[in-house]
Formats: sequence, C-alpha cells, structure tokens
Amino acid sequence: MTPSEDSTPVVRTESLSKVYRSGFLGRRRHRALANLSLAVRPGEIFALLGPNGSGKTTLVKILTGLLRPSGGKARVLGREPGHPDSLARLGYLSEAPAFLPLLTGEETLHLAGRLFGLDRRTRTGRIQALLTRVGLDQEKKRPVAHYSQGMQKRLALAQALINDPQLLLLDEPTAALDPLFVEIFQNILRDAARAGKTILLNSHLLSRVEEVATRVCILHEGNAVRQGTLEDVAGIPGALDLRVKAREPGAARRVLEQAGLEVESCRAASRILKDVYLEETRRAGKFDGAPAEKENAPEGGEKPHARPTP
Amino acid sequence: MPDPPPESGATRLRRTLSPLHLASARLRDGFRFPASWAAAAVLSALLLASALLLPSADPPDRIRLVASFVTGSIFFLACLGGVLLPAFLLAWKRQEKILEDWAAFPRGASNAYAGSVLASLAVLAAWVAFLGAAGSVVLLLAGASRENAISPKRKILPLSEGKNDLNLKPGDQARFAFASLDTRDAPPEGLDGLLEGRMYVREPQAIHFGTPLTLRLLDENGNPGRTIASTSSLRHNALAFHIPKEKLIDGFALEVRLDDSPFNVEIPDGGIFLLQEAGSFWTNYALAAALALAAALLVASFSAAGASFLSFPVTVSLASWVAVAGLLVDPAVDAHEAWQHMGLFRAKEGVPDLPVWFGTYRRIFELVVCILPDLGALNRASQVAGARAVQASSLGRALGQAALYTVPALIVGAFLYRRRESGSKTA
Repeated sequence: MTPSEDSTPVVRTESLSKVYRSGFLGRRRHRALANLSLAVRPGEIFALLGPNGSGKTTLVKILTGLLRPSGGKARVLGREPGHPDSLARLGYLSEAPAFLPLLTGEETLHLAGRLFGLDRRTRTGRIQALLTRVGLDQEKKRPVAHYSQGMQKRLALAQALINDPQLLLLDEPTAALDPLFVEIFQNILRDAARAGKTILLNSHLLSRVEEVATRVCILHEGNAVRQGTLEDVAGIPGALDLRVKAREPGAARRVLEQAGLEVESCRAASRILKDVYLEETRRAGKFDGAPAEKENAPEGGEKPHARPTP
Repeated sequence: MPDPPPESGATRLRRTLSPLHLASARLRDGFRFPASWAAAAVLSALLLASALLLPSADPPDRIRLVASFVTGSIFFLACLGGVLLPAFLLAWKRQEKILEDWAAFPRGASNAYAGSVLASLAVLAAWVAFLGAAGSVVLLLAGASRENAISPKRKILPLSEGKNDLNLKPGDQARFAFASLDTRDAPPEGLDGLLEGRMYVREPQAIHFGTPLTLRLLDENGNPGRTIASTSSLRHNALAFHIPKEKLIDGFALEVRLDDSPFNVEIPDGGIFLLQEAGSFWTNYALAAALALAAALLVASFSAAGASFLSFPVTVSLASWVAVAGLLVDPAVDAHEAWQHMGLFRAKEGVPDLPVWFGTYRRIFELVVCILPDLGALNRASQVAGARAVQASSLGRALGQAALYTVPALIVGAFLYRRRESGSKTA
C-alpha cells in the first residue's frame, strides 16, 4: 500500500508539548517536547531523528499512553493515546525491553498473545512464524535471562508484532542488533509497510533510518526542525548519484564532461563494510532470516550501497 | 482513520483474564528462581534444626513449647511475606521496567497491578502452606503424634458464682462455684480448667512472673481439698488445671488463694472456665496457620497499596509499620485500660489538670486503634500451645476482616498505580 496524502493520519499530534519536573516540589523543569505537530499516514515508515534528549522517546511514550502530555493533542488510530482500543491495534517496542527473566522466549510471546486476547491456535501459529523470522526458533526454549541483548531486542520485536498491529511504535529498534539482524529487521519493516501497516520509529542511527524510512522528522530539543520525505529533507536538487563501470575514473569523468555534465567528484567505488559483513556471515552459515526467503535476495527497490573511497 | 472491525466477544473475554495470565507468568518465573528454593531449603533446615535443640521435657510440655515456637514463627514469617511480596512484585519490579512494558498492552497498567497482586497473594498462600508443612514436621519430631498431641479444649462452663472482675491481693482467697455442672455429662477423663488473669503491681514497678497462686478443689462441705494447680504452671497469664472425674461433684467449687506476693491478680469477668476437648491438635494448628494467612493478607493489602506509588524501601517501611502497630493494638488498649483503672487518665484532687494535648492524644489513639487491624488477635500461638480450641468461626471473621481492608486498599492501589504508570506523569 502506498501512503496517501489524503488518507486520515494514523498518528496525529497538534502542538504537543511535554515538560518534566524534578527537584524539590518540581521546581526544576525540563522541556522535552515543544509544540510538536506531525501526522503519520497509513503505510508510512516514519522516522523520528534527533540526538539524545531531543524528545524522541518522550513522543513514543506519549503515543503509547505511558506518558501524559503537558499540552497539545495527540490521536493514535483515531483514539486518545493509551485507549484500550488503540493499544489493542498497536505494537510497541521499548528502548530497553524488559521481560520476566526465567520465562522462555516462547512463553514470553504466549503471555503477550494472551494479553492481546489471542486464541491458542492463532497464538501458536504466529509465535512460530515470528520466532523463525527473528531468528530465535532454536532458542525458544531457553530462559530470556540467557539471551544476549540483541536476542532480547529481537524477542521484543516479535512481541510487538504478535497482535498483527496496524501501527508499530519502535523506540531505538536497531540498538544492540548486529548488522545481519538490522538487515532482517529492515526487511520485516518493509514487509509490514507493504502490508499496509504504519511504522513510527525513532533512532539516532541515521544510516539505518535512511535505508527504510519513507518520511522523516528531525527533532531538536523537542522541536521539529525539519519534516518531509527523504528526498525533501536530504535530496540535492539537480544532483544525481551515478554508478558507472570504467577502468579509469579519469576516463569516465572525461566522457561525462564531454556530454555537458558537471561532475563534482569521481572516485573508485567500493562496497560498504556492512555488505561485506553480511556476505561473510551468510557464507559462514549464520542465520539468514529464513524462511522469509525473499529477505535474502536483494529487493527490487533496494539501492545498492556504495561508499566513495577517499 | 476508519473505525476497525469490532473485536469478538471471545477476544474481549480472553483479555479480561489478563491479570490471571500475568499472575501465572509471574508465579512461573518466581518458582524457577533458584534463590526462592534456596531460601525455602534454608528455612526448612532452620526449623528442623530447632527441633533438635528442644529441651528434654515431658511430651506435653515439650509439644507446648514447640507448638508455641512453630505457630508463632508461622505467624511472624507470614506477616513478613505479606510485607515483602507485594512490595517486591510491584515496587521492586517497577525499577526493572517490566511493568512499564506491560502498561503498553490494552488496560496494561491495571492488569499488571492486578496480576502482580494476585501473584503475591498466591505466593503468600503457598508460603504459609509451606511453613505449615515444615512446622508439622518439626512438631512430629517433637513427639506431637496423635497420642501425645495436646488436644485443644473449649470453654464449656463459665463460673456461675463468685465475684466478677476480682482483684486478689496478697492473703486473699476467692471461691468459685460451678452449680450448673451435671457431673453425669462430664467426660470420663475428667475436666480441664483454665484460670485466666492478669498480674499487675504498683510497687515496685516491675513485672515478675510466677505469682504464688494456689488453686484448690473444695470438697462437698466446702473444705479445701487437694491442691490442683499452683504457680509453677502459670504461663501466659493462664493457670491450667485438671480435675479428675471422681473428684467432680454437682455444684463443686474451686478456691483461688494468693498467699504471699507483692502482686495483685486481677481475674476478669468470667475468668475461670471449665473446658472440654474440642477437635484435634492438628485441626487447631491448621486453623492457627490459616489465621496467620489472614493476617498476612491484611498486611499484604497495605503493602500492595503502598507499592502502587511508593518505592520499595518506603513501601516495606510503611507495611512494616502497619504490621507492628497492628500487633501492638491489643497490648496498647490493655495498657490504656490498666492506666485508666489506675486513675492515670483522671484529674484527681490535688493533682494538676491533665495537659491540654492529652485529649487530642486520646482521640488520635482511639482513631488509630479503630483503623488499624488487630493483628495480635490473629496470632493463635498461645492458644495452640495452651490447648485452647481455635474456633473455625474466627477464621471466617478474620477473612471477612481481611476482605474489609484488602478490597478498598486494592481499589485505591489500582487507581494510584494506573495514574502513576499509565499516562500520569504530568508536568
């Protein structure tokens, strides 16, 4: 599903603000959000970007109902944040997911499914599929306490997807994940968006966001300093990135200049380190995201990664 | 945003069971925690070791001693569980952010609170059952088999004549007649009796145990017969005695004599009773353990309400304060009565008026006594040890009292918890 400009936003905030109070009688104030207005439409992968303390997590927590705003309005799936009807159709992955440590991964997901009111058959089917998808199928009988931080993050992602949510709120989802699982994670997000789900994620890892997001909002000290599609925000008008095969960079440059094009830089291309890492780990037989086989092959719309060499 | 298709009734029903699912998950998690089993093993070992350190007394005395220790320990440890468990499952776990993640599920905050409270109550019940079982083993090791166990007695006959609220001074004698006794109904083993009283002394201001109190059975002519109980068996302010059946006569009397003592002995209204065997020792013991559970539930309700918005150490302090104060309600009321009896609360001639604050103090005291649960009344260690029957009806009353405190405490706790954990951190 393509995000439509006309469709009713899944998430809408109007002049949202949040002030934390601390110190004696709450005299010390810290403004986390200031008059933030944004709209996330169905099928979008909307990324909140910003440095630590810019208000990204505060916004996600307000949208899940875990925090109450100091001012402004927010609507999530057509309801007030934290309304049971909206929470029932929402998947939330917290920045530092916490679990009952001695339950197994499978039991943890069963518990989450029960809290959403899923029947046993639906639960069992989804859990098996999700565990396979996030690469925890072999580890499902182990207590969560024995999971690494990255595995816990993957379990949390599976938990966020257990109710087949219409909206995914992901707080720093790729933190603690290794590049292979970041790739798998990104594919899961793309699939979810293609299935019409809306995703709002926040991160300060710009390259990760750039690879999946359809729209971004850059926050700074609680203010939205820039909002729009990736092209709107990061595109350079009139400039193109080209990738050509040539024995000599100089020869390619001459051809382009003879064609009347202005070449700003021309360097030999190399693969980025992430691609080499993924290739090697897949070759070594590490989990590759099966059975979602389409994840392994480069997707049609996915851009090849290139890093200019100095 | 178009409205989603309505959820099925089955989904909603399943979701209403969320607190049970959360409680069950917490129990599974807790019972897999090695430290919980280690703590249980250490406690069992300590209780069993205590049986080996028992004094070499005759079986009944030995069993009384052990029963008092075991039943008292169950009560104390149950109350400790009541303080710690809800505080741990709510206030402590809040710091680990598990509860926050659960709050993002539909009605998550309320469910997380209810599930945690249910889990702590279930663990509390399991804890008291475990203590009861471990205590039974200790009692059996102490010789509390069926034959040796001290059978509980219940009061069947209060004194029918004599002075009520009797204050015996040194050298005094008092006689109590039991006219309504039909000796044909007396059990073949005779009758057991109990004299309950309270010692107090004005000078010197100290309490000594073992007042020289003598209890004698009078013959048909009212002449003193043999001494049936004396000070040596005075424990817990109660003098237990046994009258063989052949000594029982219609309208028989007992004589209480205080020979030479610095004490006065106050025998409250109806302070001498005749007793009849009522139930088995083990039933008595089980009822006492169940009452300890009721006490633990009372304490747990305060702990759960506190943990809904306070930190772990503050919650534990609050619940401990309630538990200690609840245990002191009865002694404090007794002390006030005694002081009143001694004229302490009355302005007397030649004595300056009571300070102004004293009236306020008394009103606050009475209010606190009204509010606090009387936990001491739920500790039946002395009854089990003293072979006095614990009435099954008292368990019903205790559970009713527990519900009276628990239900409002949990409603308030759930409200505060939801305010605190879900959408409540206002600026």
